Amino acid sequence: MIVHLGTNPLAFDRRADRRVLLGVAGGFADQHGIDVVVVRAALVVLTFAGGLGIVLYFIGHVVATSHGPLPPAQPLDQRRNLSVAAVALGLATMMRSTGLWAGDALMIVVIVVATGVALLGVLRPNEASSLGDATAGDGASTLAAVLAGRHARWRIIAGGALIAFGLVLVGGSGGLTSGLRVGVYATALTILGVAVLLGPWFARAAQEMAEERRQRIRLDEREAMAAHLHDSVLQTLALIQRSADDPRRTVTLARRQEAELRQWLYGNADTAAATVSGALQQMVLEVEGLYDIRIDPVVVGDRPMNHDFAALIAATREACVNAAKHSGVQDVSVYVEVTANSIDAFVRDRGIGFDSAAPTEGRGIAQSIEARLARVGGSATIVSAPGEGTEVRLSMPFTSAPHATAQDPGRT
Amino acid sequence: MTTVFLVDDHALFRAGVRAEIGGFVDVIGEAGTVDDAVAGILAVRPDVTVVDVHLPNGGGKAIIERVLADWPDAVFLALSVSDAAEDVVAVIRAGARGYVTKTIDAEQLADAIRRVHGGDAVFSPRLAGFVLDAFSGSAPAPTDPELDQLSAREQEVMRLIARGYTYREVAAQLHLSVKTVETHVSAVLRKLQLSNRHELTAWATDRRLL
Repeated sequence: MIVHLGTNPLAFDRRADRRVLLGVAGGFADQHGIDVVVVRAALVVLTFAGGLGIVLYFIGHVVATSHGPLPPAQPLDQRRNLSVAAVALGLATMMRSTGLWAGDALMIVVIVVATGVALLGVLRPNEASSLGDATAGDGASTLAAVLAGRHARWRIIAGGALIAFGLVLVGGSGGLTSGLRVGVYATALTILGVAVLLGPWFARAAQEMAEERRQRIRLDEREAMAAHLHDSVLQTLALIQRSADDPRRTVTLARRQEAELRQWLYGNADTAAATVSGALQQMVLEVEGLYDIRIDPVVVGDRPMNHDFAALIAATREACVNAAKHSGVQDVSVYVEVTANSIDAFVRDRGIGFDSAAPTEGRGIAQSIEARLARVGGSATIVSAPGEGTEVRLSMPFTSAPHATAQDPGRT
Repeated sequence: MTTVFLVDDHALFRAGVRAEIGGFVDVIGEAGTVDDAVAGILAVRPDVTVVDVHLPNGGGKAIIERVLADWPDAVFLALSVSDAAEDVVAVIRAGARGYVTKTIDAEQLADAIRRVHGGDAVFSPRLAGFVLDAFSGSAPAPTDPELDQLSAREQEVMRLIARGYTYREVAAQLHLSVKTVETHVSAVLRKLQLSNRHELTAWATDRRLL
């Protein structure tokens, strides 16, 4: 015997395709390798044994697992309608064999009305739209043909007639049983009638809403992706077209975009940023992409990244950005040296420079970079003179951890 | 004017360089393959050969080795977009007197050509970084310290070059003459070319170059 560890041994998948009602019989048959006809026949037979078949069917429905909302039953043919009829008949039989029967006189009325409601209620939108096409003169149409969904007009007429007939019966036999029981059953009947009449419509509406929500989620995802691609890839492609005569810039743009897209597609699994040199390369690509400058980074030594190093890289980035904004030149040299107990970075440009002794100029830059580094125990110096460019020197000592495997500083 | 021979497998790039530096130097020949280059260089005997690091069939290294075997006084300047340390160091060790990247502007390139022609070494910041990386640190005591290690001064010079300083700026920073800086750089180049022991081996092994 096969024991399904960790799962319900009775569990089976409801069948989504080729289902008649809820796919329970089909799923059960698939799971156990039985012909589905046998399962259905057994259910029908058991239904007459005090409604056991119906009970089993609903137990099966509860136990069974289903993947997602069921698609509409295909094909929507007379088998399904016959099944519904069989289930209803079974239910009635079950009620009659238990104490729930309110007496034949009333229940036959109920069944007649229910049948009429059912005929109307199972009307589907596609049938409603084809009402005009129904052939009026087909008087020989059988009940099966009506139940099969054809001749919608006949169904409406038959259903309406049955309901009217039922109501007349109710009116004519009002005093048949004690008033209380009649009241209870009348209420139940009304509710049941409304439920049967509106049930399919509610089910359809709920299904449509679920479908709509799925569509909306999909649409949102699409929009998010479109927005991202627009902000990144399309922008880059536009930039590349505009700078087609500058191969270096084109390459830079392409490389940056590739890195970014990779990151976006595959999450943060980018191992390049796991080391100082990798993080620096990434920073350089980013700044080169944002500003029209060329940065030639040189790295000596390497270490795995940590929080403090990240602060130094961030300060280096700020120095690069400042050079890009204020130096007036397009070339910036970046040199980072990782030694056994310190990491030093130098950002140099040959731009206009400023008087680093003057209290106003460059003070903000220095303070922001200095403050950033001071928090992690580093220091910053800015050397500049008008006309002679600027060099930002950053240094951060650290307590030596086991020496990291050095990586090629310049390999890309 | 300094005579120059250009070797690069991209004709477009050769044309670009020729146009750019034509005003500063005299380009007397060019080639796109290793064999053409060796034959051409030996035929026209230029003052300086500007050679691409990456070429099919052996690259700049093969050209330098084959030309130097026949003509030991040939002078080479390596020019590359290559960022890989092993390629650059291989070309330097084969005999190139300098290494510059293709992002260099025309004036600087012409200056570098004149410099190697004058007997100096030309280090780009990137090459200085490679050198510092190769000679730095953690390797055990070398067998021949005199040759294998950079002096403190040489390290300082390399560091400043790596930071993007020109020779003149290095000289000003260290209160040296430009000539002294050039001497230091040449010494570093010689050490790089001659040092086939400890550090370079260890360094190369680190990077799975050997």
